[in-house]
Amino acid sequence: MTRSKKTPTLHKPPFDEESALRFAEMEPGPPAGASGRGEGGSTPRKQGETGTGKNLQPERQPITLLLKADTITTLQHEAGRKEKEVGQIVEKLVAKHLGKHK
Amino acid sequence: MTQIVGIIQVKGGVGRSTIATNLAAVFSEKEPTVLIDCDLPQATSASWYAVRKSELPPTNLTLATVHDYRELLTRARDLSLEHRYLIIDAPPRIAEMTRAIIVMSTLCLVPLGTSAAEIWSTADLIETINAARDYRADIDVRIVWNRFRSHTREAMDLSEAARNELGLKELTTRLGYRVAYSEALARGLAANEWLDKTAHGEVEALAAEVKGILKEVGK
Repeated sequence: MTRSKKTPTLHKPPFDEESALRFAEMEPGPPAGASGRGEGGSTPRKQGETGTGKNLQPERQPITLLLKADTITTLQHEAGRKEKEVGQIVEKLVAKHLGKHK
Repeated sequence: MTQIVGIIQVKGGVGRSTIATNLAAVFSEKEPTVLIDCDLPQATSASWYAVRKSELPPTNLTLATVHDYRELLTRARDLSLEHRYLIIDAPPRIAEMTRAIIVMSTLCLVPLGTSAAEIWSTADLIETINAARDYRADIDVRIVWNRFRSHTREAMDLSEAARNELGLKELTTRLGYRVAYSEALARGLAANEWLDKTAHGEVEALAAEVKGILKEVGK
């Protein structure tokens, strides 16, 4: 059971999302501060970058796929099992299907 | 302020879900708590919650399941608006999810049994924890001994060796080698809701000790 929100909350998250993301993706960043709440700042992104860390691959182009809900669920499960992004799983499957597996 | 407890360990079967579910149940007795299961598709904590929900009236405890580290960060940010405690059951791997949990947690607990295999696997985790300090300086990671057989020489020797080798702080409370933990888990209960009075004391002491540490951190 959760408390209902009666008034708008000006709530600061209890953790620094940027630091957690940088370390998750093993992206080097500025020195950490106490509490990991932004003292280290965030890494500036270069122009044209849309992501962070190792997922950043400028030669890739985005596409939109229309998939059945159960296919998406299966992909999410597989991505969770392998600790990858759904996009990485799809890319690998497509590459395998086209015979361009790395 | 919301406080986050991450239960991390590289090796499987060391008691992550046991500790996560017990802490979640005890914490939720008094304050809104969410149990976040990141170990999918195994989902031991999620299964425990489903059983619990079918047996007990609604409480302050909710469940979230997440499939990747980005989803975890987003969900944790939202859940922190309405919950006092976030208890995260991590997957048994050093990958993006575990690294995110280490940096985002107020306190990380590393369940450890007194077996050489568990201590060896923890050595890899130590490297990751040390690397995480470059991203968050005040990371607090502590060992919690699980299935501890305090009357055996082997347990005492191994825990002493681990203390020297791993260089992590450890909780004073140790969970003993008791069938009550697996019996309670299978019934959607915390060990202090089941039959073994010694396990009651251990779980309540564990929750009190963790709360004490969180209180200190929150000052």
